[in-house]
Amino acid sequence: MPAASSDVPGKPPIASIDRLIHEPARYLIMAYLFVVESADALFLQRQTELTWGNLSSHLSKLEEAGYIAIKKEFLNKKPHTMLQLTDEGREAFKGYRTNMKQVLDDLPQPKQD
Amino acid sequence: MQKGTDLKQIQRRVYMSYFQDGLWDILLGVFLVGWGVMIMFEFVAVMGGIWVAFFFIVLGLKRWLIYPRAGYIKIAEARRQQMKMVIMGVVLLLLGLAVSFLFDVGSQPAWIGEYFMFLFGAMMAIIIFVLGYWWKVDRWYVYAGLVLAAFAAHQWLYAPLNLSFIVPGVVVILCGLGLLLRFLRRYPKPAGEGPGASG
Repeated sequence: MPAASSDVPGKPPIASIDRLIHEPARYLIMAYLFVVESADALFLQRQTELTWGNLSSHLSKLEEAGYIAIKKEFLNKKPHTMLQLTDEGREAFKGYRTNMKQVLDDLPQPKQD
Repeated sequence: MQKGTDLKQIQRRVYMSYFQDGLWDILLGVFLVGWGVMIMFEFVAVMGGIWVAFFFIVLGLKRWLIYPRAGYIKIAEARRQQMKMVIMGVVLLLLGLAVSFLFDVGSQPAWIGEYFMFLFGAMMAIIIFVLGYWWKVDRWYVYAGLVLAAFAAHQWLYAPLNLSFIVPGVVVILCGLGLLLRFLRRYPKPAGEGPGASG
């Protein structure tokens, strides 16, 4: 289950921020998967520079939330595991970005000295 | 974890990851050097064969050397289609260039005949520039500039034509080899399997 819905009617944007995606490492994983069709764990590890343990833990949480899917493919005639954003994950990521932009836009401008 | 979170930067890093190993640079360099060798020895068929063979060698190296170190991605379908269109356009342009180079150009206006080699080099430079722009690889702009400068040297300083291909080609190959060595040092083959990396 997602930590918070990305678009809850009647709630202010800050209350609708998806806390699962809000964690920086998971945001980065989601962002990489958002711009590609699919990627393997090694690619994500190289790009995010997370440790294998951290990456594995974040991937598990995202998979439990239904945001990413794991699919088996054949690469060089060997089975290969690819990770992909689900439709739900893609929508959640878009919603998170929209909500965050809204929250940041709503913040008062800092005073100029 | 030190990477930025800007989506455009992330997209750029993903596309750049295709070119960080220098293999496409080496392929471009071989292509340029091949033109020079072809002019020197008139090995048209042989060079054509070598280019095709080298293209498949690069694809093989990507598969066996690069992906096990850097990981594997599938880019989005829309981007893949656009890439196919650009590559097809470039191939057609290159074919057009080859035809214009290998066959008679005497029936063209006089100024085309006079500046033919520079125009030829400029078109080649534009293709390299467009590829660099499309793939978001800035160093390809430098390669395009090198090719243009080499053909300008041939047109106005009377440098040998084959060197107009070979000199930038060798520079590009050396850059590519440097990138490949840096890539291999930076990304050793992982000793164990990552979470879900394989199997």
